[in-house]
Amino acid sequence: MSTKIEIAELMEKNGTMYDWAEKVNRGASLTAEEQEISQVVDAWAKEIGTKGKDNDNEIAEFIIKTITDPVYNKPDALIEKMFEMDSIGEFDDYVINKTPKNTLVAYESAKGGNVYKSYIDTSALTPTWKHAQVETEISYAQLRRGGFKNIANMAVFAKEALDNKKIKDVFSALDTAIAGSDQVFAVTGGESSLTKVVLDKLSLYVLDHLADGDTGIVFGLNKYAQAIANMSGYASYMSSTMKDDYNRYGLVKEYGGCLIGGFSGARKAADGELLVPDRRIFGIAGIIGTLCDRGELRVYETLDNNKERVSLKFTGYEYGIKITNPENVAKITFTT
Amino acid sequence: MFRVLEDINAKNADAMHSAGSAMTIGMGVVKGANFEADFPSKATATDVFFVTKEIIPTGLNTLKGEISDYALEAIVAGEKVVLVKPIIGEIYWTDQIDSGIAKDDYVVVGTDGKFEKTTSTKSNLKVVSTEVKDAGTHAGIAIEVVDWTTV
Repeated sequence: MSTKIEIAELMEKNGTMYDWAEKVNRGASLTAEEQEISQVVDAWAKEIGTKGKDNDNEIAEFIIKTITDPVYNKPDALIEKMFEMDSIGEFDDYVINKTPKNTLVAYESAKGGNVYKSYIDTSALTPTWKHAQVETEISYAQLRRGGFKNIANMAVFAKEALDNKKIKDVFSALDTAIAGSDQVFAVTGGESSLTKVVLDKLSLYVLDHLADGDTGIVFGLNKYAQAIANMSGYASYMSSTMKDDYNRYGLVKEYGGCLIGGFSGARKAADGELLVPDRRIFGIAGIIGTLCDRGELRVYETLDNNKERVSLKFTGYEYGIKITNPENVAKITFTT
Repeated sequence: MFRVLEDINAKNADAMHSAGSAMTIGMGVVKGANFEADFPSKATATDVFFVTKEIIPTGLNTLKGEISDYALEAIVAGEKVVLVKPIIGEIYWTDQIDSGIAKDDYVVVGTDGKFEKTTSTKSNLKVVSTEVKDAGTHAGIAIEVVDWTTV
């Protein structure tokens, strides 16, 4: 019993549970403490698989503990640069007050009289709310056989599936927000058709809209980031450090005052769709919107002793996306 | 392979029957004499069950740590099986299908146990998607159990 309490204390420490689940997931070797966690988890997983009863809802408790671990809650670095992050309670709502555009007009006039009054209109924006849910089931046989391993994998994968969904939604919102024709630069052909002229237009757009002190970001799938280094006529502009970078990392890191970000084309959501839209290079000039989490992720478990299975439901993953400054993004589109 | 997409919790899963012939998890069967699960003698959706079993590695496979469910989906003749009755409102996924099935088709269980498109009989098994892939890779169909319809 005392071991169980010690482990419970250990589990309270930030980072411990997520590190453990990740290590099990990757098959990395565990420290003595982490092995004890495995033993404890293994014991109750097997007990649930044997008795068909989960008195303290340990599976749900454990998964929540793992995925709400503060260490895990690190937002994607790029998304953090593009969005203001916020969070509100489950039953709260959210309105974004955009800094109004200055529409006061100064007229030339004679002294001692009136000119037309002009006005400022404030606007409130509401984010688009999305709610994501994952459901799965584990058989008792799996719990008895795989024990802690199944639980650890399930925790990491469920969270990853939900996060991937959010990232995908964020980027598709970004993609659709770009409407103006001066924000879209079309390229006919694939990544090899990218030219310096087009990319210069994109980086100029970004630089024009950049607030002082911010750094512009240009990103797309890796193949497009790679194509930047291979544009014809660009090699002469590359400094030797950039050439070193290209040879070492396969991508150049800067172009025309903007950082270049590449996303893996192999990283896909479980349904096989890319997280970042294909045939696009995006240019971002500072903060473009707000990303708000609403409420907390909840895990429900239903034990079915007839079928000998545990159904797990991960729900309450709600987030609102609003692009408040669509003028701060531009994109290059490819036709193939 | 057979997967539950949405189902009614805690219904019974009949484990009284044995496979009448070699089959695969996810096929459709009817209950025969002497507690045997058989393929229907003619294509039907009446009193059909999904055939499945608890996936537990046996023999040399027990030595392997992790093993794909798909490696263990074969059922030999005479093996005890679990029969799952599709009830109205539930949604299932199976890859034991004939070709040429499209969304919104009604399916029945053929004489080989595979689900096939019906053209002349009544059925309550409606294909709601052919896009759902199990584990992201395996193609199959999602079947919703709906009210009986004569096609």
